[in-house]
Amino acid sequence: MAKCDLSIELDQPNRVYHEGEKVEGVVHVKVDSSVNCKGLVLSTGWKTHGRGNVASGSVEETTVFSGQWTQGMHYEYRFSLPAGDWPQTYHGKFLSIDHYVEAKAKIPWAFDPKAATPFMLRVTQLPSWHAEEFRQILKKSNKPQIIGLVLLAVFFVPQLLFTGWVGAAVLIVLGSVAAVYWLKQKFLPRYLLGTPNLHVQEDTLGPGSELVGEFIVRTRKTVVPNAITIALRGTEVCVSGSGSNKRTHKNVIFEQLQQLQSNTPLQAGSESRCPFSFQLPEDAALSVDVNENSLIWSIEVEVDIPRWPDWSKSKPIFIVPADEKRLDAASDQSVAGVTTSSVQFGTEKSKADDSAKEDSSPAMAGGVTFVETVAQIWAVRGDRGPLEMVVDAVTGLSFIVEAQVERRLLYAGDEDPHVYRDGYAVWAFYPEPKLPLVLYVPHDLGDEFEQLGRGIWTGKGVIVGWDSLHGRLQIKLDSIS
Amino acid sequence: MMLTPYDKSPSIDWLPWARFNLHRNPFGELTQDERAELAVVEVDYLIRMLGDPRQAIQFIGECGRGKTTRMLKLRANLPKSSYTYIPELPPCPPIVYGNPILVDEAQRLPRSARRSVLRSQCPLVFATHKDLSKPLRKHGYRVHTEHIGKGNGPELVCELLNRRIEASRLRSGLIPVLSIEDAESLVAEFGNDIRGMENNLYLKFQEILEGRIDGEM
Repeated sequence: MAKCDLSIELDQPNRVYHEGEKVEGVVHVKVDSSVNCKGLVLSTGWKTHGRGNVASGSVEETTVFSGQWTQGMHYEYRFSLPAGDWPQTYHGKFLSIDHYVEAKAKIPWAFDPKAATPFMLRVTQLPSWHAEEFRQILKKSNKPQIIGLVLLAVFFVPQLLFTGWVGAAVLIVLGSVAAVYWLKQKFLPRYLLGTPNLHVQEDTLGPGSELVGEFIVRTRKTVVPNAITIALRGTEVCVSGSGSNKRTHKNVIFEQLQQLQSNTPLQAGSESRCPFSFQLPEDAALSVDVNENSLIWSIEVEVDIPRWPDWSKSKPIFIVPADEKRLDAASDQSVAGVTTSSVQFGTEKSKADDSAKEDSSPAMAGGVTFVETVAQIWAVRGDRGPLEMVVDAVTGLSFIVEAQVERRLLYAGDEDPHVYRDGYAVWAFYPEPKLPLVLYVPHDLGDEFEQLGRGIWTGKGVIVGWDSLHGRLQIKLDSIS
Repeated sequence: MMLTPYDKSPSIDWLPWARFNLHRNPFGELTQDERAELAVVEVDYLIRMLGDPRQAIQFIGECGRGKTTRMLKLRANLPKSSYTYIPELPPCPPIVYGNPILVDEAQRLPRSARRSVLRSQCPLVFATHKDLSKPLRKHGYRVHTEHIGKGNGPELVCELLNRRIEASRLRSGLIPVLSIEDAESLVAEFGNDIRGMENNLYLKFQEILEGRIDGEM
């Protein structure tokens, strides 16, 4: 078999790149027999490696050559590609993140030859779309835990109807365990301590800055704790495998403890304030959360009460690039790029919703075409936050859809509410860019799809969501009857 | 990702693994495509079998022995196939028509999904912890069963772990090599549990990198 060697040489392999900068270099190609290259594709992007399932993202892709390569020749192609803006290069024990320039030659052989070389990216400010994601995380962390209890109740109570006494017995045992846990972890410590408060001045900080806060407690009874300790921790959290093979790997990369008080009485009814401050290291790793690979910072206070269950509370801290201001300030800039696009979609949608009320049919997409929608989704498909925003904005809109059919689904899943009764689901993709789609086909279009085989189908459909498991836009096709 | 850097390119000082001529810890998690690419398994005879639409193959074995790796290798070699992993907890994901249909953790298929798969009239490949030959035969399939893990001897272990190191190569030149003696001691410690060996080597590699233990790479 003919051999094609690709290699990448960066002009400055040891340079630290920043967002907005270009990575420049040359790709070398050596072939030992003449071959027709359908495209030499160069790209920049990032990838995690380590204990967690691999997460990756692309920045830019460009085809620098297509045509004939002649036997024995050595070709060189210069490139200049954007370095990307997130996440920053990081090397830890369980989690590492690297940015790469990758070259791939599309040739009519079994495997496309490829090469990649890493470069270092340091981020100086949070991308605007990422600031939005952070705000979502902050919102989530403030949600009351009662939601979990309500969901549990919704799940367990109907089970009782089917499982009778056995189910009731299991529920009583589980309930007792939960009650003991609650008593030990929540009720008893609070019985003595009241409702202590862990307050930090700023929860979003840059490396090298000072984390300042206070632990405030007004006890119900006079307590002499063995110690009140506070810890600042940075932890790598990675998930590997899935289902029964799923494992969570944790590694503490930074830990600093402070004893706020020991053997000093906390007088009943009077407020005790224990201020604390931590100096974050200059090289503190930035907070990251990329699909089952995260770097989490937190502050945790623990009150060690003699002969009584201890009390503890943890609060997330977000380490962002040093010259990044508070998220509130960052949010002012988040109207550019993707966010702007989704706002446009949102406006279109609300207009369309108004018209839908009048004729009670699915909202038509106004000025937005399916091509534009696909382009928007394609541009953000690797970034969960912006993707959700765009999909939310277009959900419910009706389009003239063009799709290249891939395969019919044998089984559409237990709980897929979009599948028509007697209908089925088909995997397809938009012709260019090749955005994967799921089409929910009504029974009366069955024959049409049967005859179509793997051809291109055009017709009307409504966007109903995003299949995050398979990365596909879900479209419910209109019935002709 | 196979790295083939240009021979004359200068060194990359900031990359911790560069001193071993690697770009990452070789024993970390891989993408599914990488797993298929690096698998040391013979699948040609299975592909021939799957030419018959009434043929079913089941891989039975404990976790970490190579069932999924075989499935991914088959998928990479059979472009018309479909692959579905059934998670431990519902809902069951969609299953796509394919030739063949590959179902990982097939013992978890709910009744309705299992019925759809068995009635598909497509060749089937199951990775399972439970013998499913009875329902397969009942639906007219000829069943070929392979018990995975028994062949994971020192030679195979040596080859597949060295492949993983090779796949993490940074540039041409020397890279760490696992000897047959190393492989024998791993087999003595972990039996046929390949995943256990990889996890152990991942941590050892990190410790050597951090200078916490001495070790020849």
